[in-house]
Amino acid sequence: MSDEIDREESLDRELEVRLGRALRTLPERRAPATLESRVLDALARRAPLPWWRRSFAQWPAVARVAFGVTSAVLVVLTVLAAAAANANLGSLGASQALSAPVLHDASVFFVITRTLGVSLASILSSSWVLGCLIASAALYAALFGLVIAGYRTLYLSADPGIRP
Amino acid sequence: MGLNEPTPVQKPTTESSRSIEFTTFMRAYQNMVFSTAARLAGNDAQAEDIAQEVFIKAYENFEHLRLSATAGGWLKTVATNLSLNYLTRYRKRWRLFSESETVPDVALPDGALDTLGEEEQRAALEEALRRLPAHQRVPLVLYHFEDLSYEDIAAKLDISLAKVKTDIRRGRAALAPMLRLRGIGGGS
Repeated sequence: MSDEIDREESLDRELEVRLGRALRTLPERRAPATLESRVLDALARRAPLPWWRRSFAQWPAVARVAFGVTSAVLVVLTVLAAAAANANLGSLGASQALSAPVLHDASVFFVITRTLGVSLASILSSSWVLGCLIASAALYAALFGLVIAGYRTLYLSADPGIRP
Repeated sequence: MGLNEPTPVQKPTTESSRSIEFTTFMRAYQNMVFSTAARLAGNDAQAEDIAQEVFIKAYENFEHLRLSATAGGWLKTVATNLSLNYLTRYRKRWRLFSESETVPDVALPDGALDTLGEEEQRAALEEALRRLPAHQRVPLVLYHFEDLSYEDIAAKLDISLAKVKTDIRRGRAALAPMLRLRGIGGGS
């Protein structure tokens, strides 16, 4: 038994050495002729772009920080404004509180949206909602199955080299 | 003077001379970068994409690389890492689709071995390597081409040491028939 294991290990080692030697004799693959032009084209496309048109990761550090701070301030202001508008609409009559035309239009839009939402919630029973969710899930699963079948049939069988 | 050796005198370079210098640099290393990516990814189209990405990163670091004696090693490391990133992304995306994958037969038909010339034998071995499933090919390439230890491969691929050893052993076994080719691996 021990001899058999030793023999197997010895064969494994021999195979490792021989295969390693064989693989090292393989010459480098020749890069496609298109590689050089692809790289140079990609670099040429990137070069003239100003920093604000490049990816966020390539922005100057100051611009990235300023963008982050501005975004955070805008989010806070938006949340505060929404909370304030909601409180005003709740405590005052819309027509009395908001006399400016723009504010009046905004308040009308807000009230209509809220009323529509409440009405829909009361009309749609829970069974309707559940039915819609089930139908959506079934359609999604069917689509997913179709894509898997297509991938296995057309793509995986066509190129055996592409295997994760 | 080799490309890997440092330039003795630095001169301020214009954009066009930098571009010419980079093109020369790229020509010197493109086969090595492409080979590394192709052997790991197992797919030439993806390897070309990876090689393109490698050289774009090289261009971003060209001020350092053009003077570096280890530019080749840097490129090889980046090519390896980008290839592994590609495989990881690909594996996650398509795991569900490919779990039933079978190991392809990489051996040549009987009688075909003796009729091949030396160059064709190497091409056959390269093709057999490419046709291995990724879970065998990648650790095998990392072990034999990148000289990584089993432990390093396990850490890099985030898999167990036992799996690395098993996959490499199976990969070698699948390629073993290729060693019967004359002139390959010093076999008979």
